[in-house]
Amino acid sequence: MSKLRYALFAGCTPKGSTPELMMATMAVAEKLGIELVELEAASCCGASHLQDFDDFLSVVLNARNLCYAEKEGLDMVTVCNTCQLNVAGANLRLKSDSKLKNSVNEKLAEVGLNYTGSVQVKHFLYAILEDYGLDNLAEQVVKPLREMNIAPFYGCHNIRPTDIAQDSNGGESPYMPTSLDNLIIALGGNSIDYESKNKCCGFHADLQAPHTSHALTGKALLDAKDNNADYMVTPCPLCHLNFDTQQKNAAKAAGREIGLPVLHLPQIIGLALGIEPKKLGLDKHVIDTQLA
Amino acid sequence: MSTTRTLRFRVFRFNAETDYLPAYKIYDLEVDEHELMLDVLDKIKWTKDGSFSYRRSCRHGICGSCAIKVNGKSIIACKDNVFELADLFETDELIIEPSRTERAVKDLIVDKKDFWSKYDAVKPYLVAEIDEHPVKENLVTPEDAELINEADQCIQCGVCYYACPAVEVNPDFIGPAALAKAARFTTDVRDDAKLDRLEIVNELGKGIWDCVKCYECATACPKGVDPIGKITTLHNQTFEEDMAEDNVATRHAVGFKHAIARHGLLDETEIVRYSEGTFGMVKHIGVGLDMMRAGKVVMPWNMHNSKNLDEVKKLIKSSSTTTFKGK
Amino acid sequence: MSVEIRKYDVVIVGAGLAGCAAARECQMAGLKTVVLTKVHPLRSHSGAAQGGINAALNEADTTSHEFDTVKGSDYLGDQDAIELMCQKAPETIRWLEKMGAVFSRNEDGSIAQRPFGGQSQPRACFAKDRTGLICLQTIYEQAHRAGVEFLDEWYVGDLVYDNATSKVNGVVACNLRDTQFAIFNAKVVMFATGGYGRTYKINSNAHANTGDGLSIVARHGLPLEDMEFVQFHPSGLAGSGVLMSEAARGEGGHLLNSNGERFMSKYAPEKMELASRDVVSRGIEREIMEGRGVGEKKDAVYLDVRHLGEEKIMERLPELRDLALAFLGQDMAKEPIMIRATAHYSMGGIPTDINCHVKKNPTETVTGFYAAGECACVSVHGANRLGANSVLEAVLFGRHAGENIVKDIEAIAMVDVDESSADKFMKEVDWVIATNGSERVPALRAYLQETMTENAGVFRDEARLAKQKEIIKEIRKRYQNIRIDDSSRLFNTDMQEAIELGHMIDYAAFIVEGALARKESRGAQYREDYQSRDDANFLYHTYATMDGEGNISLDKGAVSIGKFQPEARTY
Repeated sequence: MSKLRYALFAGCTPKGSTPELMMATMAVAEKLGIELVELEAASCCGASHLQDFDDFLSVVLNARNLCYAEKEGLDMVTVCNTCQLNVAGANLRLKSDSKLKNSVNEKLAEVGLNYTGSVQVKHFLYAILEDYGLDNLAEQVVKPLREMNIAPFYGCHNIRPTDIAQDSNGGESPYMPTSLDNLIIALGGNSIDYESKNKCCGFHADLQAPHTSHALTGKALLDAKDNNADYMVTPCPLCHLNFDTQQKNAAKAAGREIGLPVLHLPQIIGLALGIEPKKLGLDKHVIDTQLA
Repeated sequence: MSTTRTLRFRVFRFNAETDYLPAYKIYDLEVDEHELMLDVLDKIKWTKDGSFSYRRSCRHGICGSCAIKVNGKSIIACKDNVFELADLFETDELIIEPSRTERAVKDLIVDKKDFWSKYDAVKPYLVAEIDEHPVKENLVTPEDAELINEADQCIQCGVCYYACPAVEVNPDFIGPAALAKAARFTTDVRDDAKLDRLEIVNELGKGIWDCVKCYECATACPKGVDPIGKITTLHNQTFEEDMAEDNVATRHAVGFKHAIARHGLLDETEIVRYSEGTFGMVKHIGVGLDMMRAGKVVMPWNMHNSKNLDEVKKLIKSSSTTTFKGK
Repeated sequence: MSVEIRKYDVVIVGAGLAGCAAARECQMAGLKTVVLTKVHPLRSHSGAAQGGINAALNEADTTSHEFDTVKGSDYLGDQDAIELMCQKAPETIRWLEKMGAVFSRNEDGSIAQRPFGGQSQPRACFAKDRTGLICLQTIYEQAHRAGVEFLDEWYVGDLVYDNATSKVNGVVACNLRDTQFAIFNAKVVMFATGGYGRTYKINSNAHANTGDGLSIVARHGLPLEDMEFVQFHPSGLAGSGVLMSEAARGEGGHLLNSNGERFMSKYAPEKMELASRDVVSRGIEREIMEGRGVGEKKDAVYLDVRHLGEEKIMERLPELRDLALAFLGQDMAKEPIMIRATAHYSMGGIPTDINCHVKKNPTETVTGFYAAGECACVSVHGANRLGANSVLEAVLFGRHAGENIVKDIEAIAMVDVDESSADKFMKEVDWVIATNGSERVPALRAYLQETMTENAGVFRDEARLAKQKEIIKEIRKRYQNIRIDDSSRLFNTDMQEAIELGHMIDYAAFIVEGALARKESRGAQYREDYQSRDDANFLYHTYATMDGEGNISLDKGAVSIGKFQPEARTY
């Protein structure tokens, strides 16, 4: 297999409040021989909120982000579901709406850039699944996640809306997603089936509607817990923020103890590949990852 | 040759007058490849148990009566093919339930009072002086007509509403269907009540700011309405029409622009402060301290910038389409 | 059980286009108005209309719209009513538009129009292929805005009619949620209860279209008009009968048999696929009968729109594409889809004069009783309705009924009624719930529907109709021996289906008797034993009444002829 190379759209959270995700991503990529070329010029994707204020501006900024991947001649990889939604979403809109593309390019020309639509955007999860391959990954496993009951939590924006998921994430079904389950199994873990795995964590209403957000966070965590999960794993750092840093608030809202450690996708891969926990930032969680 | 399969259906049965708890009854049925879920419901009623109750009328996806859930998927029964559902869930056993079990009155029939009261709340009609005997129509360009088209396809089936997790945990949330209805009128060039409607949908705790952005509504909608897209339209119109109140929700949306203008990337502490106000930060102290202990907080002096930040700044200047004054 | 008596100025039964339009007029005139409907108003079958609503927006076209309608009706339509409809059509469309209807537009912003079957000009205004939906939404929204009281999931089971004074004083209804009965006592009652297509096995109608309103009227000895005229729409999806709008042919779709021939060249060489509906339906059924059908059972023909191109299909016919995908798994952008004729529309119904007053006999009217829309026979459709005239009729005559109620009501007395008026319907419901026979309602209904399709369908003759008459008698007898499963009084839809079957049996008899007596072929009625139209003997409206035993007697009503004298009808 020729060496996989991607442009990495790191996003803000992995460089801010979830540094462990960035550490784990880089460590895993290195171990698997995947080259991630970080787009240091990239700006924030707008997190699905900027579009509410100024939709056009949000598309322009993401078009600029895409230009940098195009410059590298590399497909783009994201490590956050919401980055995926916004960047891949802009890519899809620009590819299918030539009027929009022209007006965006007019703006980009002012800074010497031009969007052509030549790159794909996929979340790291699907880069591993589709490009690296689960069989290959399984071969690299040195410490299978045996006796670990892991609840996969997919996160909305990798699986919905379906047009974007289909264009970029291999058409994962929003109703019966399997990628994360299959990955857990490939790593030797036991994947938990539970109703909330494709539901919403509530993150995007955290500030505006905290009650809604905490209720949803608690519901998902408890559903996983009640189905005997030792850990939850998610490909999205925003889901992770809610599940980890807001877990106490969610427990308060639910009126029940929770105490469920939540891991990032590359952290469980890293563990199975034998990378030491410290390098995966497992000490940088609010909910103790040794809890289980 | 058409093929058939024997499938098992586990069906929610309940009578609010006599039953304390629902029961799930099992029906094994032979199903044809062309059959829709409504055919299954009819078969159960007509060949197994006549007392089985559900709503239905048009049987071809236009009247919106037969909203139910199958394996948790919110659908109208007359549009989803049975084989496709069985294949989707990789099963020979489908669970048939009402759109919202808590609101079940009898079997699959739910009390939709909540749904209709929210429909009513957004003034679901064109507000205009109506010429009762017109000799000429309003002239509306095809482009302007097209703006309304998607939202106008809504049949009020409630599939999105009962798929919405925010509605489930916040009964006050107007929800995707009624918000799409509001957008259908706020985008109509003939309507005189745009600002009234925007005021209604802007209320914190009830309106557009309580959407959790899960895209369940867009995924579930059987008519291609894209309700969350319509919610975004309402967000945008709120700012365009200068109807945005100065509150945590609007500042949160606007805050991203400021953050990006400053660093390219988001300063997460700063967006919370910007949205909540310095005083509002108090309630986040607990979480903040937890995060600090875990090494999750970037101090302002460590915040770094995107490369070529001047490009970003330039684009923000040239491409911004709205401003925020705050009411 | 006590019965609540509620008082209103106006009670309207049915919340489709006609009911909502009338209700809005009454409410705006300050009348206390209630609309009763067995489904939510927005679930009404008006919403299923797809292709269009006719109007001669260019005034010069009005006479031609009149002529097309008269010719389409095979000269049985009443020309005074047709004139009124065609002349008021443009105002009606524009009124809908002013109220918010989102019509498809021309580049200059005016309302766009498309060609439709049986018409010399493109005059069907449309909203893609969901015209009925947007019209229904608009009218309901504005009626709602005006403050009309809507009571949904109320089932009307009887009329309060005083035969001695020929006056209607209200209706008896039950709340489907809890089976509580109420009498809606009013000065005026209007029926807008829809059609009766569900009496056929292959039909395009909603489950709700059981035509209850017609037999409720007939059970009081009042007449029904022209019931034998049932329109079979050419393009129902194979198997289900679900409608594929005429818009598919209006936009240029072809019909093909198993040899790949555009067979309509044999039956309507000039208009081809866009001949009148009865003509196209017979063409299709003839091809199937003679072995040139397609599909596994050779019981369908192809509708081919591929040459329109995917873009136009998506722009003009998106719903249709979805339907064929859902029901047949066939993508009309990529392959021809399978269709056959499907029972679609009821030309006959409750006879009314041109101002929507229900008629007691061919010359007199009932006081305080109005009807409009598909349940009524005014008669603008005569023996065959033109595509895109039904939405028009429902809106226009619904509103017209409302206007006439407003005009008349001062002279109409409020006659108080007592609880006993509800006895008949309450007994009927109690009997259905309690009776413990051996016949199952779904099986009996299926038997009725199958035999109606077989014996009183597209092609008819004496022997089959006579046989069907006997079958209906048999079904009527067996109905006395039914049993249902649901003994509750909470959303008892089992009971509702049984009551509805009772109505279906009643009016099915009217269809058959009318068809038997009419020894001619006219419009939708095609008698293989009398293949041509016979104006000398049959240019009249059938008026039929039913006695307590279900026996039917026939009478004749004059056809209003205006500027168009009957002539041969070719397409």
